[in-house]
Amino acid sequence: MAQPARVPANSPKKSPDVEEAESAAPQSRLAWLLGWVVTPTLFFGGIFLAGAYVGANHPDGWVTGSVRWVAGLF
Amino acid sequence: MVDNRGRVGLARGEISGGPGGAQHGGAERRRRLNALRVRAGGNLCGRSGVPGGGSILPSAPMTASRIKSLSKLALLLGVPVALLLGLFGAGVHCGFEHRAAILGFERDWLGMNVDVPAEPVKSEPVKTEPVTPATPPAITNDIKNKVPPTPQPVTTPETPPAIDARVPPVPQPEPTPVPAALGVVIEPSPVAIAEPAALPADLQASLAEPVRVRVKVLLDTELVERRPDWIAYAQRHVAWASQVLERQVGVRLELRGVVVWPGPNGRDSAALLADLQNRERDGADLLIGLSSRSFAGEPGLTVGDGANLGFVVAEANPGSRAPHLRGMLRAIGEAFGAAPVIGPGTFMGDVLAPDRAPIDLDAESRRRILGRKGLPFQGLPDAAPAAEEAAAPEEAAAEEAAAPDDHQPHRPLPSVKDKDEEL
Repeated sequence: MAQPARVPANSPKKSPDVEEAESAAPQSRLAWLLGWVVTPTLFFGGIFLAGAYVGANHPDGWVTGSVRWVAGLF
Repeated sequence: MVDNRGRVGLARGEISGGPGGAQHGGAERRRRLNALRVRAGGNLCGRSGVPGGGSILPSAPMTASRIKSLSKLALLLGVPVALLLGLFGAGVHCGFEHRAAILGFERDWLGMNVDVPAEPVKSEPVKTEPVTPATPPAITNDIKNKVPPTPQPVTTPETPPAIDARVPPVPQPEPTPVPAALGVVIEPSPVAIAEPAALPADLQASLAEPVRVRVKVLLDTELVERRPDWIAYAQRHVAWASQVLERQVGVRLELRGVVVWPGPNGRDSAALLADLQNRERDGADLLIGLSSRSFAGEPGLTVGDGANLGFVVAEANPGSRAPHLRGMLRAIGEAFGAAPVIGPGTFMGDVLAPDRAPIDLDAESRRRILGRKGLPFQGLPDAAPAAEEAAAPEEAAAEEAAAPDDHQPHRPLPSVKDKDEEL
């Protein structure tokens, strides 16, 4: 028995408006900056500053002692 | 037929028997299948050759692939974790190496109540003047509900000579740096202090004459709310100002008390001074009101010939690491009769100076202060209760009208020496 024709799964049907919007709006520079510069800087900078806070405010703690021990090996 | 997994199936040509010889054909088929299984097990097991297939020990290729997979997984997860831990450890190391700077930043800019590790104390020459230990100043708190009672402050440290038997022996300062306690300020000024210029011979004697001025500091409510360590803040500024004044004019400040100054927020300089003169002295020679107003360079009260001013207002430099230091020095200079100077280069100037500019005093102001530092300080009228504050200005005006016409706007009080005897 003949099967009805089906639309291929890898080519979904889009409305004409969405297609227009996608083609007309390239990725903005701000979004690039936020995604590749600001967010990683905040993430890694926050980790570093957290370490600086621990090192300055808890000089006698085991974390600081461990780091100093490792740094002393080099 | 044996596939790569050892499964045995019928190959072409291996046709099962027909129905007539089903039993015989079935048995024959089973025999062939068993033979094929044995052969397949032996091929796969290699040396083991266990009949029927199956082996206990894994083969080398299986072990190697497993190790390879585990290594890849370890690298995939371990490298990012190691990088993050390394970044955190670098921060810890930097934080430990620069503790003083970071804690100073937290205290001065973030307003956190932390103890900054002290710098090695410089040995200062011991003053020959017999110094009696300061009595514990009474800290009064006008806003009892808002500000809790705090420990009593102590003046700048010094090592008095153990000559007077009445003076209890003071322990020598430890050579190793210790965290600064609330009552002792041993950290140097964050703003550089310029070396004083050489004085002419007639002023050398005045510089060498030590003068002790007892001060009481009042902080307005906005400053108290912004600074949780407002008492230590006042102590530090008095200690730093004393360092500058000792070098320039031989005047040492002794902190008598630190209190909250309610009410004067947002008023102009004249209103602040008028409010300050009604505050109790508690044994201090000079009242210094620390205002949160930004420095405006306005001149203060006119000082009389026979006495120094008894109350001054110090305004803030918000961008400085010692916001009230220059303002306090200028106010104290005005109390000693130094006139405001136009331009930078001296703490008597009328412009805000950045922290990179060292604190210095112009020659004329220095001469003026050296000439007047031995004079007494003006007194205050009796402290008027809150209900009578409205009548106080009228009474003061009546007293001034009845008083003889002299250049002093306030009644002169006994000298500093007489006050010491009273205490």
